[in-house]
Amino acid sequence: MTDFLDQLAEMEVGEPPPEFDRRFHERLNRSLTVQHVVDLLTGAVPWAVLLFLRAALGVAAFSLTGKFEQDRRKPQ
Amino acid sequence: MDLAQWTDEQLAAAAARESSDGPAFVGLVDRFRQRVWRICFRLLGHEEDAGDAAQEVFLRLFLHRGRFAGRSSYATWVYSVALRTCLEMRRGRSRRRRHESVSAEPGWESRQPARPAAPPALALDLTAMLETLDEEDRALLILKYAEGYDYEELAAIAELSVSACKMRISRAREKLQSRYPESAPQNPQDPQK
Repeated sequence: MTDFLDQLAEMEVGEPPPEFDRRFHERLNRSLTVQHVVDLLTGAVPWAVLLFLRAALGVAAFSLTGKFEQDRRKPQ
Repeated sequence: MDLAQWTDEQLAAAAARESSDGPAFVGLVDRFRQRVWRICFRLLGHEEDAGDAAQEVFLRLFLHRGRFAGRSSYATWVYSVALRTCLEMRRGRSRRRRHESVSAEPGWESRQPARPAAPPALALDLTAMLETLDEEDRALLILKYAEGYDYEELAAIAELSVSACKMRISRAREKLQSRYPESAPQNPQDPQK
């Protein structure tokens, strides 16, 4: 059995294909792009939505009550 | 700064500090490209799959470049990632091709590596024999006999103890011997060789 398995070492393995590096870097760039888009969607976009939502809610509140947010917070 | 003089671990530490694939990571790819490719090709037996697997290995190394803790050598860590990636790919491939015959695929033979003719007494299809084994046992046999890793290296790569590694290889050899008695050696040797 040992002799037989030793034949495994005799099986030739060629060089990596010449386009290996190019394909790897294309894949890496795709992966980094996806990662950055996910970071943007989970980090910056929710922050921006919350920021603008607060302004939109302020406009809605002013329309309904006639008072600015800071006016409502003033002590009587 | 001559990166060629740096150890693998120094390069890995520098790569972990890089924000993108900078010179240190590119240096690591250059250093391990051939060895990772060989492992992937040996384990997957197909040039296209081996290319995919090797790219996936380097991608994982890049994405997890900050996780190398130095508990083993960097080379061992790389080979361990390569082994896991290939095993995952083989499992995925076998699920996809469960009802297909690989040998019936057109052009399959022509994509296989050039193989020297086996001696008549051992004229069995070695690849087919290994296919009958459990995926991990097959990988261990290939890494030991084709790539020449010793038991300590294999144990570190496969994340097993040395004794478990020896046991698995010994059992895999016994399985092959019982399934293919014609492949048994004329003069039995120490199975722990």
